[in-house]
Amino acid sequence: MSPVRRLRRALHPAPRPVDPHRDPAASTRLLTEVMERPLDPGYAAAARRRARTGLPPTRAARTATVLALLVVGALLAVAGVRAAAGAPAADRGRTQLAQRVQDGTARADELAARVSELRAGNARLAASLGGAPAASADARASGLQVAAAATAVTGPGLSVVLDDAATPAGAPAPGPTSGRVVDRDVQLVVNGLWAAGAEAVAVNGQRLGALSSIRAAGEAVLVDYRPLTPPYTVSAVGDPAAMQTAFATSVAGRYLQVLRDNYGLRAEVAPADRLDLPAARLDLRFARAGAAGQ
Amino acid sequence: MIAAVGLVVGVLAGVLLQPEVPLALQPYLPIAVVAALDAVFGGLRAVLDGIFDDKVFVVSFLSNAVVAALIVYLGDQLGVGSQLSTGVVVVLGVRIFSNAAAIRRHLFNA
Repeated sequence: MSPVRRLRRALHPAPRPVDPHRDPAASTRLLTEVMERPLDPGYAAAARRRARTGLPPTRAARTATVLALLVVGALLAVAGVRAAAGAPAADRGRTQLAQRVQDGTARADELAARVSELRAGNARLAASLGGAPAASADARASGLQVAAAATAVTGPGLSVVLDDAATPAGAPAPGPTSGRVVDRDVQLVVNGLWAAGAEAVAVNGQRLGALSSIRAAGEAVLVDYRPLTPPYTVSAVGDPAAMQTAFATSVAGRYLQVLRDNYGLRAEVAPADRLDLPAARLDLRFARAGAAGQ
Repeated sequence: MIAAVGLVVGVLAGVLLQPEVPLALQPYLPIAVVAALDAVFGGLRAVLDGIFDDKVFVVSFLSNAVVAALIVYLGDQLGVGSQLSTGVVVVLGVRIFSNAAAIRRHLFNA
């Protein structure tokens, strides 16, 4: 026999002959049994046993029956009350939804508590580190604003006042810039103050930022393209004592001394308890902030 | 007689005390009611037939309730809870109806 024919034979077997003794209603026997003999056959068996032994029902069995009926009654009552209170199915759905809402709310509360807990832990750890890298973003941002001269600052510091040499009335000036404070002098003083540890510097109320320039136009000194008039007051916020020492021993300090001695320029360095410096002008027209590498 | 008193006391207790059904057991309440009704009607018919037996009644009541709850629980776990509930209700409902018919024949000879 070829494999194809064998397969066909297996797929389409010849019809079997019908068993003549088979009950035609066998498939519905279960239903018939349920309909015809609903009573528990145990009752009949127990009755036969009782008839054989002749024993009366025990008191314990009677009590159990009463208890069972008690339970049945309570069950019916509870179900009835629940049905009367409202549709049980809808109630169940609503209860489950409410339960889920409560669960979700509780979980959200838990997570929020955990967030604040972790935040507190972070702050604690940052405080224990105490360093700039661990400082919070806010502190870092405000520090950057001060460093970029984007915000007005106040604090103790040093102020250096430069003024032209006092010329006797009527005496001719020995040279065009002799005895006068020029832009180079102001630049040197400012650089000396930065080097001495100044955190913010202003010249005659013009705050110096990363975009500031100090230059001259003719005889006038210009800071950020604004002409200033003498005397020039350079204010620097920082540790007054440390800055004064560092400035006096720096190149700028020695240069000032030379100016004072040789040209009669007036230069005074004085610590100040409180200096108020405005924000610098920051007009950015082309530069845009961007992440590194982009 | 004392059995009927027990039933009435149970109903009164349920109505008056209104015990809170735990959320996990609430889906089984209707099935339990149907199973209990089946046991009660079976017992009533046995009483009228004169073959009532306390032990058989208690055992049938408890096993009815437990098996019905088990089937529904299993159906819930398998995702066919409503279908199995329907099956249980149909089978028990048919039994209740035919027991009620037998009781009617006893009481009214009709």
